[in-house]
Amino acid sequence: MDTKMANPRSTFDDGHRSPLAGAYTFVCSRHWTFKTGSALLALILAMVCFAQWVAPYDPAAQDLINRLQPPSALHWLGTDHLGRDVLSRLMVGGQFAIAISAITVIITLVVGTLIGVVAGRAGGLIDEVAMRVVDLLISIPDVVIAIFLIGVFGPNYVTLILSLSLIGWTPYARLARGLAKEVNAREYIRAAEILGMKRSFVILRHIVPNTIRPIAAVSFLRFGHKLITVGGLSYLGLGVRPPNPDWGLMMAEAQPYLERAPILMIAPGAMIFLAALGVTWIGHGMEIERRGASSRVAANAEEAENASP
Amino acid sequence: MPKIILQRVTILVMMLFIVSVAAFCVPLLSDGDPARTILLSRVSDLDLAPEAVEAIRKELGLDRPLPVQYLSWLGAALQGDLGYSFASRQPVAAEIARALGVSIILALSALGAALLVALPLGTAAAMRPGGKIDGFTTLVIQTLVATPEYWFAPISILVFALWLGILPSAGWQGWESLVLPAMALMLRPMAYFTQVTRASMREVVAAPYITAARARGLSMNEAVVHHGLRNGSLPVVTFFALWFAGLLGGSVVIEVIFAVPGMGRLLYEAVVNNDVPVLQGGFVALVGLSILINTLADVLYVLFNPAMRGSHGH
Amino acid sequence: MLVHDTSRLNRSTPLLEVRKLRVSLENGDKVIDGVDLTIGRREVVALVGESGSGKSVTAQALSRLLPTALRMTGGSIHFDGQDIVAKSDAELNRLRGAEISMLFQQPQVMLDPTSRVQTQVAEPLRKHRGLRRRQAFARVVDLLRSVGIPDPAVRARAFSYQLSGGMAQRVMIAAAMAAGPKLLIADEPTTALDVTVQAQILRLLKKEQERHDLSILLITHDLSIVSAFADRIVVMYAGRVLEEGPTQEVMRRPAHPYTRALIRCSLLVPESDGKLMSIPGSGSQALAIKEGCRFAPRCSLMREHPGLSSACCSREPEIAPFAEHWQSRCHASAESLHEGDVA
Repeated sequence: MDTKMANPRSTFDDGHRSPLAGAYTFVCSRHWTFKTGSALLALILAMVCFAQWVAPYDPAAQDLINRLQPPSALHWLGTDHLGRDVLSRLMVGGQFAIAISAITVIITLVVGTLIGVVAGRAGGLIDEVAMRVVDLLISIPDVVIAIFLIGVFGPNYVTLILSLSLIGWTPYARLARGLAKEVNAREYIRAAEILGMKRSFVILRHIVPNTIRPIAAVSFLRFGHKLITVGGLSYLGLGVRPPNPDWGLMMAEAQPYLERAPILMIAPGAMIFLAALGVTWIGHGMEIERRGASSRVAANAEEAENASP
Repeated sequence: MPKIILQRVTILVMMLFIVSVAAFCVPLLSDGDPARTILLSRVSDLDLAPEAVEAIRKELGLDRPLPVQYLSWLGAALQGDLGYSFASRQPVAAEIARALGVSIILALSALGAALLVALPLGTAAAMRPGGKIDGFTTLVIQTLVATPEYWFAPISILVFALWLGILPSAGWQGWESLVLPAMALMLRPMAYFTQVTRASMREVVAAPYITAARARGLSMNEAVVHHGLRNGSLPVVTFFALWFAGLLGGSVVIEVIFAVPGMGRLLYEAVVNNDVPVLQGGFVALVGLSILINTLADVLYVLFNPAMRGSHGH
Repeated sequence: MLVHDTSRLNRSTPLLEVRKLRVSLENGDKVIDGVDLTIGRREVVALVGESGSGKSVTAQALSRLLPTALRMTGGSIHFDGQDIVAKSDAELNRLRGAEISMLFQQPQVMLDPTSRVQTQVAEPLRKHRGLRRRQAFARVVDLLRSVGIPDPAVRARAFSYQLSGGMAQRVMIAAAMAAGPKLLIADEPTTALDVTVQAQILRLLKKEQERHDLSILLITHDLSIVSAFADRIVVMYAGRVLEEGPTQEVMRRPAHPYTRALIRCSLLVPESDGKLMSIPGSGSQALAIKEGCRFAPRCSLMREHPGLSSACCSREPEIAPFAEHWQSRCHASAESLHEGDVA
């Protein structure tokens, strides 16, 4: 078509930026979802990390006389069925879920990226079979695997992380494979190889910086998803174990008092929601930054495709 | 065309094999002795006579080599015999069939409702990129993606069951009891369906055949309805299958909250009761089904998409 | 003002009259910069130029079907006594497919892959002629037969992937002709087809033109198909018309150096140095030229006659009469610097 503009992208594109400079651009990223998301997540992380010092009460201290108190000046969010301060418990309550989600994300990221890159570079039958397997695995809800393994081995954190990682690597594999293929085809990689640069140098200097951003974006989105899953398992008593305070667990404990003290249910759920919203915004903002606003649609489609039930 | 289907089926069989091996082997890895577990569930006496344990072991064929055990288990499973539940003493297959029916109804209602919202919303957003509806849609999607369904569920119980009193808070009787769980379950699929619809419809709106249809005198809306929707909804169909398979077992928390006797709740109770045969059978059924459904969706996509059909043969 | 031969076309008012058409990108960059175009009744006009010259955009602007990234920013379009620019969307929908039809470059992707041929060919009939589904489908078979499709009843139920490129273009022609339009805008209708099929499609178009008193605007970059087909030729470059005149005369003795270069390229005859002719440089930057003739950087005439360069590089020439019904936008053409035929 006549209207098509020449692609101004030069052969030597963004590969020349160092990872550090790339990280800097992240932070200075202009998209509002990224900024708002980062602020939200930073706030929640700070609260969770410094809860021991900031919390107004000992989150485990029971006060059976003052149980199920409505919000007041003393207890800003009231007290639970054992008279414990809800706000203090909320502050501490994210520790386990966030840690478990983060570990899962890191494990799946490493494993998935490796599988994806290997498949992408191997090509042929290996690639085709690997991607079909990914397509099939991605539809299995990780809750089913978690329940099966926890049911057999009993609830413990190793089983939990293992069961969440077992198919959690698939979106990364799909993404990394696509990137590896794309990078393989890029002119400047070929140019560098023809110029006689070492393969490892080419990979470090050009491939890694180009793949970090999209993988990071997906990681944030997946982190939110894992957080919700872990919360759900804790709600069922199969995730974080009492007496550790946890958002999901707090919701389960609040269920009998739903009508009497709805805040006990609403507040911890809102924390999971806000944390998930924060990372979703970060991931979304990063995707938009990476692709430019014009291809926001493509970013959205990828987000959706990488989301499993 | 047969080649692509053959390839899909090969991988399907391969995956089903791996899943069945996993389902069979994982319980063996746990430190519990199945014979003891079974006997415990029968006599509830901690001092088990070694002879009795040995008898059970023989009865179950646990003294045979592992591959033989696996094959006989698989053979029985293929004939619909998944053993008996420790807790209810009922055949596992019957329990799963019953629960699966409930879960299918729940999943289909949730996903159907999600589609009813997602298709028009995604299409409307796609028609005016960067417009008000588009921006609103983005916000809705991000909010819904981050909403834990087990947070929405109790709040909806509070509002519709406890305060307004128009819907039951739990149970499985009549369509009323379907509303709240389906509402909670539809949130996230709705967000993703909308996203996929919007992305694929934006591609479709700019497609050459839409321009050609407009050159024949169709309005933009007519062109999109007559020539866009079918093309644009093909990816959504694949997505529907993905979520349908996922929701059959992925709705554990919601089924537990609303006391819906579906697959999720069956599995949850199996965990609580340490009911290994039900866990095993449920795992095989759910994972197998989701692999099966996705292969089926894939094959159907190839069969029903004339353009794809064209590229593989003819 | 363009004047054209009314005696030859035996009607007084032209069918389509475009004045000072301007189309810009969203950022304000001009893509079409003041194009004038006139098409008489039963006339076949060829609009030629390299890729990026704006000929397809002009075609899209005529039926007000510009892609979303482009805006019409000025000019007037009159079609058969109607002001196209002033029309509402609904009025335009009634016009498209009924009075102005279009053909496109890649017929196969212009057909909806999920609906049958008959559904799409029947659309103008149902929409503009008020035919019922059944009647329209019956009429589709006749239409398909008239455009030379064998087994029309079978093909009517086919999908686009079951058609060859030539067949798909015939289907598009059937759909375009269904409601009996007055003007057919054919945007590179044969470019994506095999050479042998090209000739068949052009012959078919000519036949339809004669049979239905049709006017055709043929957009092409292929000059070899123009001379046998078009009454008049309009040459575009960088969003402007550089030359227009009767096809035979222009092809024999082009007034503008750009036209001359295009014709020599299309002949595929080696030059004196044994190489095929090509125009040095590319036209893609020419839109950015603010001063002087947009073709100046690539113009051989200017290189051969250094005396011209001050005028060509500082002042853009106006389009001016060169001969009867023949205009050219070149400082040199008025002085008749080029002698003799190209060949």
